[in-house]
Amino acid sequence: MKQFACPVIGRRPAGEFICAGSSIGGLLQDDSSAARAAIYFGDATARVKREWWYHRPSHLWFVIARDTATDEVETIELMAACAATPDA
Amino acid sequence: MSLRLLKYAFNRDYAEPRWFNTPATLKHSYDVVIIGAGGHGLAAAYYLATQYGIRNVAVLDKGYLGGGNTGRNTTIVRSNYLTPEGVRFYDRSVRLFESLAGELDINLFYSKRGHFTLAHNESTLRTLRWRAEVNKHHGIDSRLVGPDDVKRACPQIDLSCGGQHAIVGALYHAPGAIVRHDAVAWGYARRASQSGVEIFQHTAVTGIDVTAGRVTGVNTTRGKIKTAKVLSAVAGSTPATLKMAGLKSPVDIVPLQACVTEPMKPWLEPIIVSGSLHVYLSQSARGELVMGAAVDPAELHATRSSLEFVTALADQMLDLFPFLAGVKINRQWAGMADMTPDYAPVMGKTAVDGFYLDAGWGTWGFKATPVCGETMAFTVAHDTPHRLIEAFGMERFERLTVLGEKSAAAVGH
Repeated sequence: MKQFACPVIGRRPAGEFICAGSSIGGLLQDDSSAARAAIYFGDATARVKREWWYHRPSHLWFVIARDTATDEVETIELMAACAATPDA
Repeated sequence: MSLRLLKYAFNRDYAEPRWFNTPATLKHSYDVVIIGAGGHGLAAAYYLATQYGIRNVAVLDKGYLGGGNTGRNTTIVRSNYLTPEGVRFYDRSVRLFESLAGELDINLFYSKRGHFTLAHNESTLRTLRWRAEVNKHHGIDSRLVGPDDVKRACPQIDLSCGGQHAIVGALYHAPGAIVRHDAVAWGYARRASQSGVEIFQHTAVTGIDVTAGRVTGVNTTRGKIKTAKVLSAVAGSTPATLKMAGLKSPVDIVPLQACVTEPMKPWLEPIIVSGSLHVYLSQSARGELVMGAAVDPAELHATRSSLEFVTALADQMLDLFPFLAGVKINRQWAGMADMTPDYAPVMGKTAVDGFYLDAGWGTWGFKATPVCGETMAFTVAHDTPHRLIEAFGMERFERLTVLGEKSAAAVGH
């Protein structure tokens, strides 16, 4: 069973987390159609990516940097604690 | 043993011609280069050659013929979608499939089974009713049926699903069928090759040359090719080819897994899908149960299988068919699916002139193979999108005119 070694809540089964997709840094501030449309487009090739993940039992949100070619997790940070840096 | 086989056994020169020939080298230039020798790419090559007389075509694949999602899907063909655009498109595909074996002169083992999408609650039933009405409006044989009809077609099913989520009705779609998927790719490959198309396996595209917004050539592991038209039909690797053409991707790659049981005597005639339990199954001509579920929970560019998938699937499957508890899983595998935000494909022209896209095939691509070939051949030949795919253009995400097919495309294959 795949697990995430989280610095905040310890080693937890990956199944307890829900992936909410690429991090866009914070809430979308620009409400224009162009800004909303831009969310659909990105670099979806295999690489290390910053993603939003929700941990259901603890109701905590994390930003996880994960290699989408190998599924290896590089860093796990609490969303509230990390700077609002969107996935490149 | 057939007489034909015996004849070959005693024949010194093997008399059966090869299904397609690969020239020793790539030509300097082609009218059209198709990336991806799966069902979609080969079908497009076939229709380009036979309907538009465009025969100077190369089909390139980094792997082997039909080795991507064409050979990894669960072979179901149906047209009971939700949006009118989707219904019209997939209906054309079903019609092409029904006469394809004759056209390609190959046994596709096309087997019409009937297709049940089960509802376990009122809200699912409402969506299924909606789908049935849209389908009927377009002349497609879909209707809402009760639990008794499901039981009659499939007496082994536990209508109460272990008392947890009783079946309250289903969408019945009579044309639902299963097809031998490899044969579709091989059939198109042979006919395309006979018409002059050149197929190169183990030939990866490493770059696409774009000059002043126009495609001018393709770089491959076997050298450079000049061409003004490139069709990308590489579901599972679409973001990479888009990047080569300098385009951003509305497609994300997520693994989709499937598995088969050990073979058993035929007992399951229809195809059974449960969107609420996230599982579906059919019985193949070999007697194996072909089973699948929803896509994996996150993006991943790999075809690894997971124990989590097969245990979750078995858990739900046993609610539907408790008697399968002693049956063994024989094989499991995965494909990389091109997921789009609205569960509809991305097809047609792009911002780069001469770069055409047949992508976004998520978990619903095999059933569209013939119609994709036909419409993409038209689009490439005329440099204008075929009317059946106008709504599927990439620009829909810029215009925010998405086509919500999730309820009809997810899980229900």
